[in-house]
Amino acid sequence: MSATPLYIRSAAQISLQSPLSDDWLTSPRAVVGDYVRAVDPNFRDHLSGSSSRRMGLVLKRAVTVAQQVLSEAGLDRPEAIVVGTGLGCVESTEKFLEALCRTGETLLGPTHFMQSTHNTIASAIAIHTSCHGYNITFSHKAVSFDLALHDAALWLLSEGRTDAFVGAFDEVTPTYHVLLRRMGFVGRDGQVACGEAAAGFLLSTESDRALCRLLAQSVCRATGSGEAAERLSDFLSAHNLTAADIDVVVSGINGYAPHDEAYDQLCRYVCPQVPVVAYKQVFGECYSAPALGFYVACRLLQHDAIPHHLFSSAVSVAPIRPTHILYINHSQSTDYAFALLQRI
Amino acid sequence: MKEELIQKLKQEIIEVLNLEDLTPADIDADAPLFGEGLGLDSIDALELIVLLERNYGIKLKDAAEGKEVFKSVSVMADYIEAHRTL
Amino acid sequence: MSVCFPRIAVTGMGIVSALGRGKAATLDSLLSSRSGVAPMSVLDSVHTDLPVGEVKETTEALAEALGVSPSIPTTRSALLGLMAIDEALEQAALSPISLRETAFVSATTVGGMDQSERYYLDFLTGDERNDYIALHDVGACTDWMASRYGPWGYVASVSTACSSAANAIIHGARLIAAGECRRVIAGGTECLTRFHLNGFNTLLILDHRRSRPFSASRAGLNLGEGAAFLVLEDEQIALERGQSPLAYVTGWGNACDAYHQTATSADGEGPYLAMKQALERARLLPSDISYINAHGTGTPDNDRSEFAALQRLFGESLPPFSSTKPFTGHTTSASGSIESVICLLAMQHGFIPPNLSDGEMLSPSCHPVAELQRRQTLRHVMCNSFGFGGNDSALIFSFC
Repeated sequence: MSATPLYIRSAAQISLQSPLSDDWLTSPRAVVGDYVRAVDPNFRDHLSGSSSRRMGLVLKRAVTVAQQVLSEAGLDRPEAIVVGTGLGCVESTEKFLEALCRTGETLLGPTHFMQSTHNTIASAIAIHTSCHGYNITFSHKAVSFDLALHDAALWLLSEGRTDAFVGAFDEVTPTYHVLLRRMGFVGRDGQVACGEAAAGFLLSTESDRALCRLLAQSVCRATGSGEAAERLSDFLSAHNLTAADIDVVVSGINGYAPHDEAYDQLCRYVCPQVPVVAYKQVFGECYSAPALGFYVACRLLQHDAIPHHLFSSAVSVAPIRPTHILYINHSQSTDYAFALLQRI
Repeated sequence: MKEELIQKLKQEIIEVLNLEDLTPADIDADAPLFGEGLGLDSIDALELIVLLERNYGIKLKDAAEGKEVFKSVSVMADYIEAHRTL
Repeated sequence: MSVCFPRIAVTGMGIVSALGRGKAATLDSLLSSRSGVAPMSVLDSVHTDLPVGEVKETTEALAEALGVSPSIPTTRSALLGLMAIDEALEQAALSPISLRETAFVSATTVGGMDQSERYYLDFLTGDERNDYIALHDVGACTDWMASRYGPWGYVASVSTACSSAANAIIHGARLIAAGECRRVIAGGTECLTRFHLNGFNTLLILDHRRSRPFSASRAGLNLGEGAAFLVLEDEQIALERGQSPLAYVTGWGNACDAYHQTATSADGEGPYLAMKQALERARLLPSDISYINAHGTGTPDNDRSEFAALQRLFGESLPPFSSTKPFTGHTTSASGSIESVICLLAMQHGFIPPNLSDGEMLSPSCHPVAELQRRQTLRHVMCNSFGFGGNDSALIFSFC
């Protein structure tokens, strides 16, 4: 990334924690069961019935989150909308697919089909905010958010623009939860609950009232943990940082040992002494969960202490007021994403 | 008889077009469905075409024909009475 | 802002569509004005009255042709993608294992839907089709293709409906322009499915005849399928390894119509902004463009608003333009890269493909290229791709 600094000016989330709030910091909702749907706000407070009548849940959440992000930043519309989603508009896709498979190729209506494409989310936000700017959607399993963040940062810097809305959104219907279990993405030994995620951020070159600074961000593919560790070391040294500068790692560990192993090895190789914050025990697992990890990192940089329920190990950690947070994420131990956030 | 069909149609329209904010009483059977009336659009017209076929066995030739049929709930009811096969 | 970007060279391209497998077959069809749109013969749908642009081999035959064992679960989009990537790598003189520092950016929307619509009820009831559940999503389609090559340095999937492949090329170009990487394989793939054929059909925008873009009698689009990928390189590394660029990616733009989920605005604001940005990025004037490959789906809505945008931007100097969708069908998420390859072939071989629609056009001032034009010098070519959600993209390829 170039020398132009980037900031996160506002952020909002809807998840299985209290929506559009930071109650999870002090009084997190208990996660009960292996599949927990998001707690939705009263959408009527945010969206008019006529503008949202065709929207599935993921769209209502996305537009609500975007609205919140923009209003916190004091903007009517962003200059770009960059979205990540692992599965897109699942509810609409399922309705159309199920009708197709059960009743055949007749008597199908257009509504669910037209809401089924992945970019319906980014386009609903654009229509809602009358944003004619750059609009793109990345859909690549659990690095969907990271690819979106990466592209948004490159766009801002290469186009010399000021701000972009970046978000990641995944709804998990009861049916898709079953499918995610069947393919072994959730429901494995020791794994946290399957959740849902909607998180958005205003990425900006302006620091006014910003939550934190995004020092650097990177996405890469690596073969094996050795190569991933090498990439992470290069990432840190490219920004003149060492492990000693990192106060906390925000990690995507989810309790399933083979999945967590890739995180453990990265930390062991690169920053073995640094305490690890685990957010999925609070927010659950889904393809857009990493956006909630990034959200957690942004918020922790505004607070003077990190609550104990966020630490991955029971070992007591001395109170930390983080200055630098390293966010790490991986998908299938193949695609890795790193971000460095700094207190301002 | 027609009154009953009008009530049923209103319910079906609310359901298929996700007009969650409305009750059948809010829909004036003689008011235009499109444009000024309920503010429906071309996608709603396509859903109504499917509704006619699925619930009443009426197959419209094209969207243009729908324009005439979907003038109001009352006009729709008349059309259904005259053409229904279900 | 004066920044010196590396020039982005195209050093390889591969294509498969209803026009056949590979550049030679595609070129032959274009030069003989032979359409690939025909009655349905591969897709298993009740709507046999709808003509489509199919790749005329079954999924099993595609797998066999590519040496993919029948025991390996796969999807039609992934196989089509593989065909196009193989050809692109060969032209760029890259071996499949020489991609460590290379990025792979692939676009699709249907992903593994061809198998999902076949096995969906099995997905719900038992474990025997779990391999196909895992192949359903967009990222899985990219990963399946990626796994046949590499290792890669970076892998990403873009999904923005019918502008997907154009946006994959834009993302790839941005990665190189920003110095994030020096070589990208970018493009898109999309097979026909009952899911989206029926979806488009519910919107009543499928023509029962061959589509007639920009004509007064146009009545919708024909769906098609296929894949195309480009090898993009920082010119320097291409020259260092002795590859002469086929052309350069010089301009790109993306904007959102922000009007309606499926309809387009009457004045074509999104398309206008996308094309304008592409010209600005390429530092070209409207009069510099030698040919525009229009999105031109043949739906009443798209063509009206695209032509309005073309008139707004180009005014009196509207260059020759045509839609090649009557050749290939609308290949949705792959159309941006398929039509990019058509543009590049046109530049290389000095021709302008015809619009294949005759009769009265949508307005007296609308004159798409009616007949094949040969012996043309195409220095700068624009390629348009617009999608659902008003996602509008334009690319400019230059040879100079």
